[in-house]
Amino acid sequence: MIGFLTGLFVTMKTGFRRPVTAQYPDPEKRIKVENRFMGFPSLTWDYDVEEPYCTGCMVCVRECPTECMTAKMKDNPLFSEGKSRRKKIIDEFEINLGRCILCGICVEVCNFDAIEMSHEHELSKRVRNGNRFGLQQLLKLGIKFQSNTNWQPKQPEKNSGVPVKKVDEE
Amino acid sequence: MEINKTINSDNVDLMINMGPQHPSTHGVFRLLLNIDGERIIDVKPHIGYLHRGSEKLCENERYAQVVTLFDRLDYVANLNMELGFCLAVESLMELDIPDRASYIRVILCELNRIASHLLFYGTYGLDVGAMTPVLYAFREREKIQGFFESITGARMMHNYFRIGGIKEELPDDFNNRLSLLLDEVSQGIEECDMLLSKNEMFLARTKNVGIISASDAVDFGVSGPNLRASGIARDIRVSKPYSIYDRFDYGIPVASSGDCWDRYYVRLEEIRQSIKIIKQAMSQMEDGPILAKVRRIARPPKGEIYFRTESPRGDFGVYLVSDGSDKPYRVKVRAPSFANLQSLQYLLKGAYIADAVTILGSIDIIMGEVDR
Amino acid sequence: MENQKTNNKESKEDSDILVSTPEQDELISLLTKRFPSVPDININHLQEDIELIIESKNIKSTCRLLKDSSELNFNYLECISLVDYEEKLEAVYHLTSFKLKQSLVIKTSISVENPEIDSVIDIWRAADWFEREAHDLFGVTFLGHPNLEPLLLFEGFEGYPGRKNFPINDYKEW
Repeated sequence: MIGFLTGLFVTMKTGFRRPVTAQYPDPEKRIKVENRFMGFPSLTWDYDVEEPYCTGCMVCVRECPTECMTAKMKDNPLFSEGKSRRKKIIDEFEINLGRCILCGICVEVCNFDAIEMSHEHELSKRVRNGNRFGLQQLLKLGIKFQSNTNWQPKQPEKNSGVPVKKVDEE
Repeated sequence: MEINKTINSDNVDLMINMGPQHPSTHGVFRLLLNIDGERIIDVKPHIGYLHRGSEKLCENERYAQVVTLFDRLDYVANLNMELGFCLAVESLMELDIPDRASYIRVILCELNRIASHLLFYGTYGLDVGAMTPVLYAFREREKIQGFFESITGARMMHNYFRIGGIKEELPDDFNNRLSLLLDEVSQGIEECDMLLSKNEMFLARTKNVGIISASDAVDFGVSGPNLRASGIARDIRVSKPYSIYDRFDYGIPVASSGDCWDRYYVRLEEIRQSIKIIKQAMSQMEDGPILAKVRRIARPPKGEIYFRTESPRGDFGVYLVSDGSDKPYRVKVRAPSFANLQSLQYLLKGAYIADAVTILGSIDIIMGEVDR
Repeated sequence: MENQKTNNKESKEDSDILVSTPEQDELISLLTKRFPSVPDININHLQEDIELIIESKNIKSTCRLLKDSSELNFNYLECISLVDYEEKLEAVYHLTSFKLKQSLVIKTSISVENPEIDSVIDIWRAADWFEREAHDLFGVTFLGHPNLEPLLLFEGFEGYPGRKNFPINDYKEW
């Protein structure tokens, strides 16, 4: 009987606490994700030259454990115009977010700060393969992530697309 | 197989199929029970519903990628799984891990052990018919998972440990948050303990139910809390210390009778010991590098190793054969739940059918690890 | 136990390259006492376990001896692993003795053409599922095992997915 009553006492004590639960679908009342939260991968946008950071070097594609990415590069038109430092630029990029396991390996191996785990985590779709995100959708995710978190590249000097420096050297 | 429990079964029998989608089978696990009246006379466990061929997949992935597969073995103690694999590769490469990385690993692994045991506590309450404990357990577990999220970026599949260290430095508020968390969790554990452990109905359901003797447990390859509940003080952290577990002072909870209540209480006690370890690790931890000097693509030398770690469920062994390339030649996982689950055939024979779920729950299986 | 004597290889424990701890020396001396013509003893310096390499036909007698002898008493079977080396299969048994607080590795090779080995289920009941799993994934028949039904795979699965010649399927989008 004593064990039962102590249990009841614990339950009653909890009645005077503030609730720890959150109302999920309500955007105001839900629990915020942490800064480091790894949602689905997204491509970042270089505002200085108005192009993606990604050069299509394929290193993330090769390192992905689930092989959920494909990428294709092209010659950067802005480079020939002298507006960008990137010789090559991403042409097509597709991530099958349904297959992505959110491991963050692509972010870790990327040398160009081009891919980043966004805070996006709700991506249910009504169509099969609706989560196969192309370049534009991934950039949209990335731009949203950048503006929400005030994202800065980890190696700003190396990865900036601004061609000024190169002109100076030459 | 000879099971030395004799049952009088003149007239048989009714076969009951339990699972694979039974709410209390902890995953996709199927049991075929032959019953005679209220007694179970024969048990046929069926596993393999979650078989993903992890061991085979490992052979096709680079070492850094294999860590993500290990996350998905025991999916409630992911970091302990990662630790087992990373330590196996590291000792194959004979790497020295920076102290700080080891401390962070130990802290996170012990937190994960707490989270895993809390999950057991909650679901075990459900298994025996108590609805409230799961809410208390998940409240505490949620805090731990939120804490993991702030460090590793994920709540469950962390992919945080690297071969040679860890992925990234801890956030700035780590120490404050951790000590706050520990206070909350240890308070929560006491509440959990008060809520269920001495409850008369719970005692009636679990005391002297599903008894396995020490010698039988050893024979079945049972390990971890289940073995310690039978009275054998075997813990790899103490008997063969890996990582930096020899620097801490903590006890191994051991019970004697090997019934369901003992298996339950050993786990609850282990949570307290884990908190003790974390507190010591926090005070001992110093600044320093977090990653050993390793090449980005790990290539362990030709050789093989069987590395044992203590996962929340028992002896977690990784048998790793390397042929010198960047992919493992063979990875064999000795999953503690796999061996623990074998003893179910023995435990359930002669038990009442009402106790089947109680006994199954007390073994604390995770099907991701059993089926691999 | 008499068939131990058929295997007369030189024991390796005298060779210079092996560095062993006193506990390991003790275990080796116990082993050499038990197996007068020791098949082959190795020390894996990485994991501090002593390896005993035997012929597959001796597996049951060796295991029986290891478990039943009072000073060795390897009562805990940790794991049975199979490794496919393409020209042969290798069965690896990891044992632990709670009495000696030591671990022992038994290795034996099984031919690919005729993958058969004696079951050790009479010695350790823990071997049950490990052997069934090995039967599933590698197609090794464990003689004397009462029930070698598929454990992890479904009934009627063709091929042995653990082996190296079993393809890892490329994922196809659908």
